[in-house]
Amino acid sequence: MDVELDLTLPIGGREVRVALRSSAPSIAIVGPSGIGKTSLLRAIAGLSRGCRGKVQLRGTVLQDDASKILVPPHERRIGWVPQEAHLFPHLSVRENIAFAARAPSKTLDDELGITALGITALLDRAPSTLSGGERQRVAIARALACAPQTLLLDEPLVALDREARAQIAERIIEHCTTHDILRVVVAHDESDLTALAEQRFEMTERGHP
Amino acid sequence: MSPLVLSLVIACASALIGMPPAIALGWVLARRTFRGKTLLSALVLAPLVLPPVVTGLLLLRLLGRRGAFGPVLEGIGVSVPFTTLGAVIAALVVGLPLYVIAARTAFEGVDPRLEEVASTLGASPLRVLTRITLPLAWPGLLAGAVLAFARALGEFGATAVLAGDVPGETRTIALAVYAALEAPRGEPDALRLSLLSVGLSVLALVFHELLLARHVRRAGRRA
Repeated sequence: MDVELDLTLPIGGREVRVALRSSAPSIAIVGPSGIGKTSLLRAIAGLSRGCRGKVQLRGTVLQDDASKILVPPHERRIGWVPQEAHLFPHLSVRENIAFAARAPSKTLDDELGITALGITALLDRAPSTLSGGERQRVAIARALACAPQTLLLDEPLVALDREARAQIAERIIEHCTTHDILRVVVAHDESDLTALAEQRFEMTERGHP
Repeated sequence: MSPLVLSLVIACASALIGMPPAIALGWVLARRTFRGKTLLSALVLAPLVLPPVVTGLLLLRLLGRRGAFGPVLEGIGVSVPFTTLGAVIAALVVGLPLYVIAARTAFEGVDPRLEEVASTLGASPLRVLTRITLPLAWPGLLAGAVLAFARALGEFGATAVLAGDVPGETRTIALAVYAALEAPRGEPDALRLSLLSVGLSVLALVFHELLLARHVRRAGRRA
């Protein structure tokens, strides 16, 4: 199993149970807004304090309350692309990406395809001067730079225009295939989902995707 | 040392020495939830509402020759009452609440989601603190230091009780004004020193406002 989740998440005062098993290299979580898709991604990243249960990705147990295992976020080898890019405002684009890089000396362009992501011209700019779409591209490059084993994408293409969407999705898939990175995607747009994920799970009111 | 120089030295020293505890307390109060947080917060803020004379008396009871820690301090050759060190400690304790409030506000102004993203990118908690949290909170923390400096310039009550009025050692501008008023025909001197005090304080507060505006701009920038 590539993904094995059995979690109870506290979401807006109620508890939502999520049980999911998949062997696909990329999965999508779909469902109405407010159901807890982002909370699920946060739990996988180790950022949700109140979540209980088990998270196992590619055979590595990241959380298992029964065995008292809880790997902290910074040791999970996860690249998280949040819906609002959350770039570090005091660092330039280049520094944002370098912050994540595990091997600082590696040439960013070759490894990440900075050119393909269309951010070459942005490297020396401050995040506050970027458009929403540009921020999203940088957030993707930054997440890829940390050499993740799993990429969590929360509406990764939503800030981009139609044309850019296909291009960026292609770049993400290419990088993930080359580096054998598992993808977990949350998206509303049908074509984004089709582009980025092979298997989809629906979160329903009962909470079982 | 003249009252002006002494005031500046004491205010600088208390603002610098107070920085580590103020940052630590501000961070704990902004980012941690624990039992007794309200009590800790109240204790830290107490010198803000206590009469400074009372704070001075409590400090004397702790650090004076016959105070709780008096023998220990004497053992290592440190004397607090009637020394410049005593004046620094009095200014530090009285200024600490403002410092901690400023630090807490500065840390609360840093979007915790930036810290979360940093941790998912492989940054240890220490790296998150030094590379993300502290740089973003820095203008606010510096504003707190300036506020503590300004408060130390105006400190009188606790200093008078703990450090007394020793010319050249503990006679700051505030104490010199009082001494001048007590002296026959000292009012012009008192007035001159008061104007100096007003000038210094306003200057420090203007600097504080500038730093604060910068912090608000920085923290408010969404990226």
